[in-house]
Amino acid sequence: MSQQDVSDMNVDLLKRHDRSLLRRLMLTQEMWIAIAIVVLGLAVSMISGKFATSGNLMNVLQNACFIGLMALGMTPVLISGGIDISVGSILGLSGVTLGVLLNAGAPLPLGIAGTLAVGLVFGGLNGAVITLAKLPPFIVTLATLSIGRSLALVVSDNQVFYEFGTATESILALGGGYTLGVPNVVYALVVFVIVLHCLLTMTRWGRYIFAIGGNESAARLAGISVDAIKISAYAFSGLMAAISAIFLVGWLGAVTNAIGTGYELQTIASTVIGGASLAGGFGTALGAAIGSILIEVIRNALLIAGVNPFWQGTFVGGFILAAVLLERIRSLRR
Amino acid sequence: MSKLASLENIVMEFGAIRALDGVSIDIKRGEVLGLMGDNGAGKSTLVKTIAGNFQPTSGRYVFEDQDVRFSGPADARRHGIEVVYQDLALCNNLTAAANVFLGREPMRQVGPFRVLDKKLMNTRSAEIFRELKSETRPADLVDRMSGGQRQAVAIARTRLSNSKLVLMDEPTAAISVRQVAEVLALIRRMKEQGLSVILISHRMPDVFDVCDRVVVMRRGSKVADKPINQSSPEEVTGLITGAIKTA
Amino acid sequence: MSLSGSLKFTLSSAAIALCAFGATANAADREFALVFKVLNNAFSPPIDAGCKDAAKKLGDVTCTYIGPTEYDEAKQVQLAQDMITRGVDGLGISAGNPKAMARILKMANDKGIPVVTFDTDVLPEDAGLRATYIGTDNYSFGVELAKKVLENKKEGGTVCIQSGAPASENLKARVQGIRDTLAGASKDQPVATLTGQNGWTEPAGCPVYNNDDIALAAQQVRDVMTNHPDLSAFVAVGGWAQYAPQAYKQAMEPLKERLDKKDLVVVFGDNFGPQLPLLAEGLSHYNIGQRPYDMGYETIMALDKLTKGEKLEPFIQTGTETCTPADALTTCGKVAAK
Repeated sequence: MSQQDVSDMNVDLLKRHDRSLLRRLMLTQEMWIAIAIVVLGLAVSMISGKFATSGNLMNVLQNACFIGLMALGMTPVLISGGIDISVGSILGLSGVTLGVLLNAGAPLPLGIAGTLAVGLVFGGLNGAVITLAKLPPFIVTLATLSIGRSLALVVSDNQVFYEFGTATESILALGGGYTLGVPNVVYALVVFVIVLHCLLTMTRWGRYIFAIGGNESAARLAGISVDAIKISAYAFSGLMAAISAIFLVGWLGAVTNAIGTGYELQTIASTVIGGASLAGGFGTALGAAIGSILIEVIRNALLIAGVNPFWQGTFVGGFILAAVLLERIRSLRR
Repeated sequence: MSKLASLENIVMEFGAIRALDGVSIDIKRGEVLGLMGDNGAGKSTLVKTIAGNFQPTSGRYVFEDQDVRFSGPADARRHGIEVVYQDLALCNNLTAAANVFLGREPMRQVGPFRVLDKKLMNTRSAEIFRELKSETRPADLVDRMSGGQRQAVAIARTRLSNSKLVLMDEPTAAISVRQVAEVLALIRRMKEQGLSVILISHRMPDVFDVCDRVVVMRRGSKVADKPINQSSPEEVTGLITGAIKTA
Repeated sequence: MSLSGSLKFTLSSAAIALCAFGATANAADREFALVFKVLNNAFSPPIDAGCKDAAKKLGDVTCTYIGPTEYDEAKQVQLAQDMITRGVDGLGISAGNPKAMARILKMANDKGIPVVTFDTDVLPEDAGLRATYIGTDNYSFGVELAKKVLENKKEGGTVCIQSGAPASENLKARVQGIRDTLAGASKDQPVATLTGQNGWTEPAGCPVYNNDDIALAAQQVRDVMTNHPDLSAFVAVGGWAQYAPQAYKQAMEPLKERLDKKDLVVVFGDNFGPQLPLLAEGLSHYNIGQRPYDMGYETIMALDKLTKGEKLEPFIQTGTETCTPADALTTCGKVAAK
């Protein structure tokens, strides 16, 4: 923070000029990533006409939603200065729970309720251990990553579930079905982007999440119940993983206990590309969703362009670096 | 000046360490009190005890004629005690208005939902910044602000509700000369409005400029408590270092 | 103790208690240990079942079936090492990392423990370290998959191959078997990629690798079909995509006409539960499975013979089973070879 000894009254007013709403919109991280998606899409379309078909675009959007929902859940955790690398395992455990419940004959609402409860409780436990035992989030969620995957094996007894009893038709329709030509999971993503955006920008909870990420001791001094809010952020992350699991199981039509393995990295990559900071204090709902779409567009574009799939990781990694660099440059120029 | 608060024989122990060794002090309404002492003398501990961050190990704390035992700074705030911390306790990623109202946000009704009333927060903050004669803009992120502007945000917090006592920990330590003058002018305005101010500072000129009374701490004990016009910078320096035992 | 301190203490005590509880005493029978590559896999339970059934049949044998829960070559090596240190009467290993397991085989030889490989063999130069290999020849498996394509597409065309982990030696051998057979080449003159040999080409973007991610496998099928609407053949060396039956159906049902006319020929590896209804519906033409139950069964039998001093053939082929829509829901997967 530099000292301005020269009268900084007028200097301040000269430095800052109010940008119009449109200009401010144009300069957001989300807009840049959206532009990158469009540019990538145009580049691929020049190589093959198959990318820009409505069928393929819907597929891409649908595929992105499973990670996108989890990225939404990860966002408040990251903003508050934490991290949750157990989300892949929560997805697996929730999916297995749904499979077990439906396979045993439970009606769909009960199955969904049980699955959501598993996600919520697992996330809440993450938060509780982190705040009450004062352990680093990375370590705790690293442990629960292991525990969750192991529990998924135990609960499923290594069986594959593809018979869902009376709920079979409805779960398949929910997860894999289309409404008005758009896959159902896309509606879920849109709804939750709106919900999270409102929570983060309009509620006290959202403001306190940002405050805790910005300066946790200041938040405590202001009388904010920091522990309760952190726990709720992790619970939210678990809940979103469970929601994603429900749609994923419905789309796949079968549950193996390996689902979600490795998804935590894609989830974090999505949020970072979308503008969230791993150090805390920054992040948006729309950014998380757009980041997950970019990653899926990369995968799909490479396949359609006929690029050797071994290069995919390099592209995704390259985009992550570019996105973070962009965020850094933008924050310097502000 | 009538009495706002008094601390009687306050002892503060942290394990084996006796940070405050039986300190008694009166705080009068509309009085600016300078609190001086070397590092480790107990100034910060005393201020944190008054502000409710710590509960004294023993002793009596009377505020507005009532015995009090605050559960935390938010509790003390409800009684009208505000603090401006040395590091300002600001969230860099939030706006000035958001920082001013942190923990005390006004809400408004939108249909069935209660949402943050950002417009009110911005308007009220702008008013307070004008009163403080600061150019801080409510919608700007604190991250981008100069030291003086950040100071203004921290001080603005104390103007939100019915504050009676404002504790300031080294408010002039890290800002420019012009801004120091502004902070001191602000302290005088607060006094005019009947607020009591306790000022921790190591800057002698500032203390002698704006304070009514000076209290010197050394090694957890109060070694001097007198009106400023009955003392001198040399005497205070001697009291701080121990060259002069008491005064 | 602080809350954090007492929590850590409780957690570590519980962990130690659990470990102690897990160790069980051995029976007085002969103990044969089978160390597989990964337990969290559809292949694993049938091998386990075959192993236990054979042990029961022999009467005086215990089958100890272990492996890492997730695919982890290093962990598998450690587990095998533990078995040797503990001392077992016979050892069967599916070599996740062939070179590392060769060391283990040597250790077993030094300790006088009879050892065989099953499902995945060590490299040819280390073959002398084990008495026999029990399993599928992965190259032959690939050949079988390709033969089914050739039976229906004599004129050639475009073929997209789907595999799992690019580094898997098993899967690489299958892919090679497919390529050589389609190209009409022989095993000693392998073809790297099909660029027109015998009329077959691999379109750009293929082969696709799903790294055992079932959702990704299903997405890849969808993308490949979108991207190559005139594809002649799709060969998956393993059943991953069909483990998402709903998603697979959504991707393939629009192509039913092409499938029925066999303009597009689809051959899948593995013939496990979720896959069979899809085969029955004609959404794949052939599902060729291995016989993991036989692998487990024959490994126990082989170790039994070894401990009795009998000789074994160098390669015990458990073979493959080809299923069609006609027998998908009847006999497929239910007939043991021996």
